[in-house]
Amino acid sequence: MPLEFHCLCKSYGTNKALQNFTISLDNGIYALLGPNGAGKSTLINILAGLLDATSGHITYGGEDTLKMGERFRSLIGFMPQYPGFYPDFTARQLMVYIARLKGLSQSDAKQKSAELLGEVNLSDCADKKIKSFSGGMKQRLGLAQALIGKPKILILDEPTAGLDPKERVRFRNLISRLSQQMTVIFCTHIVSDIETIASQVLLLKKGELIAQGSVGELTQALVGKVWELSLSDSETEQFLTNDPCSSLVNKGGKPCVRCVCKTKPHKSATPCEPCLEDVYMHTFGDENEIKI
Amino acid sequence: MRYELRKLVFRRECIILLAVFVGYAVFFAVRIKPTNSMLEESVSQYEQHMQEMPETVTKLKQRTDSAPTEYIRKDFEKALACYNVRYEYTPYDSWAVQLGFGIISMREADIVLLLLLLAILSPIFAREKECGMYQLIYTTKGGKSRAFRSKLACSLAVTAALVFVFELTLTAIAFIRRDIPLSCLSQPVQAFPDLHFCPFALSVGGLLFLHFLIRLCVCLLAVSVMFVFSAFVRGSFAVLGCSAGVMGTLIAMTEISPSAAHLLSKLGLTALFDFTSYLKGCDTVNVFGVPVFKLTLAVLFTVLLIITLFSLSCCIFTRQRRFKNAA
Repeated sequence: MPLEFHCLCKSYGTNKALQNFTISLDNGIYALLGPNGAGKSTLINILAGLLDATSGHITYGGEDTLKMGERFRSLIGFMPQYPGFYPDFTARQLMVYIARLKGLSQSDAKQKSAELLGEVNLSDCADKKIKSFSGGMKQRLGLAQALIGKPKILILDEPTAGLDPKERVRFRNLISRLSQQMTVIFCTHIVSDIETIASQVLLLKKGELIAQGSVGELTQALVGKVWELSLSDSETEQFLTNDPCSSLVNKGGKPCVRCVCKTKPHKSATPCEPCLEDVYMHTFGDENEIKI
Repeated sequence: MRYELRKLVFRRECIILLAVFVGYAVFFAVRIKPTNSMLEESVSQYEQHMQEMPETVTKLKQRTDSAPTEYIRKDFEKALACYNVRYEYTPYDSWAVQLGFGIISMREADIVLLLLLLAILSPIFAREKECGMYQLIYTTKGGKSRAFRSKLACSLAVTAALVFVFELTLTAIAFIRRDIPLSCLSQPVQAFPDLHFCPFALSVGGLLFLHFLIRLCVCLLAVSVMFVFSAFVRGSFAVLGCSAGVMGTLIAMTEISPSAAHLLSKLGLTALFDFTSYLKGCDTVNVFGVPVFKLTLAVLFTVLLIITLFSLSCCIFTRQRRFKNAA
């Protein structure tokens, strides 16, 4: 069933955090991409029911989610950006508590909790108190509790922050496997996560949806416009100062400038394959100055 | 409810507070000693009052016969019924029992109990905001109404258990010190001087049970006030402070300001903090032309207030829309 946003707006006084956000989502993985303050977390919190929208509404299968109330909350799994837990609870106790709140029976809650803790590689620490957990472990626990009850809509706010590369790969595999039966919406700054698993990317800037499409579609627009060039140190510094949309990469031990430009920016510039990070820098580059 | 209890019971602060309670009980047990001089003063005051009583009853009868309205006639008839009670009593034993009961119902015992209860229960809603769990709880199917019911059940259970243990401990201490001998439990309260005109048919055991119920009522009022504050105030200490402030103000008003105490006593809010004073005579209020005992009205009003406050907090916590701004 489609999840639809209809002209969703959210204002904090004169500050418009979200402006006329309208989109229809089906099963698949949707990534929200944008700089800080773009409205990603605001959108996610409104969808999860933690925030009031100023205007507009969200429907699921044609029904207003606010009117659905408990029925809609039974369909969602939510992982906030900084998940907070009762420090004196063990991981298992917390999972069973959330499972019971989601309507599972005691026996189902225990079984599912054990399964999901295994999925996120926390089985060994299931009976340890959460206050002894590292940031990454808490992040994995946050993901596990969001997956309880097989939600139809999975909402993840910065799910891979604090995870090591091995855990991030594990997370991507898990989400990819689950996405066929559910709608996954996640926001992240880690572009490589989006490139690997997202079926659609939604670019948000100052509360507005400015672009959407698959990774291929978005990068296609920059074909022939992404360049790499090797310069001297002083030229590199000057180039980066003049063009904040460019980035410094290391190629074979030598610094190399990568930039987005309609025409060849320098005689030594060579064209290269665009990636999602180039799309990000090109779209939001004026808000993200690189300072050396 | 099991998880709500787990959140409260295994907190280090709860263990410290319970240690404070035990310390208070021990201090209470060894500190207060009834003295013969206190008894003698009370007995002489009472004997003087009893000498004047026949004249008082005669005047009351005359006023009943010539009452200008139906309500006044019914009120005087109720008062006469209280004055017509006669029981034999043994002065020393009766006064010691009365003193023993007075010790159990001391104001400082109420204050310690209320503070202990509010300190234990204040995190029940505040904790989830403090540690960020509300984001996970409120987005689940049962995160609003089911979670609220669970917290309410837990709060009621903890309140009843704590009041019971508190009351049992103080009463046990009074029995061990022999302030209240077991033999007097079945005697009517009218046998004791201060309560000679008590309008209710109560035994001493019944009075102790009534005291337990009244204390439970006061504690439930405090918990319901705490529930409402939890909806608007962030942090366990802030909730504790606000709730304790409201209850402390009510208690203080019975001592400090007679006019305010008079108004609040009509509403019943302060009556329950000093309910034995309403057992000393026929104290009634005009309710649609019918004289109703103030204590009865106070209990009914307080119970109604408790239900209203719990219902209000239920509406706030389970409402569909939750926050205007990101927390």
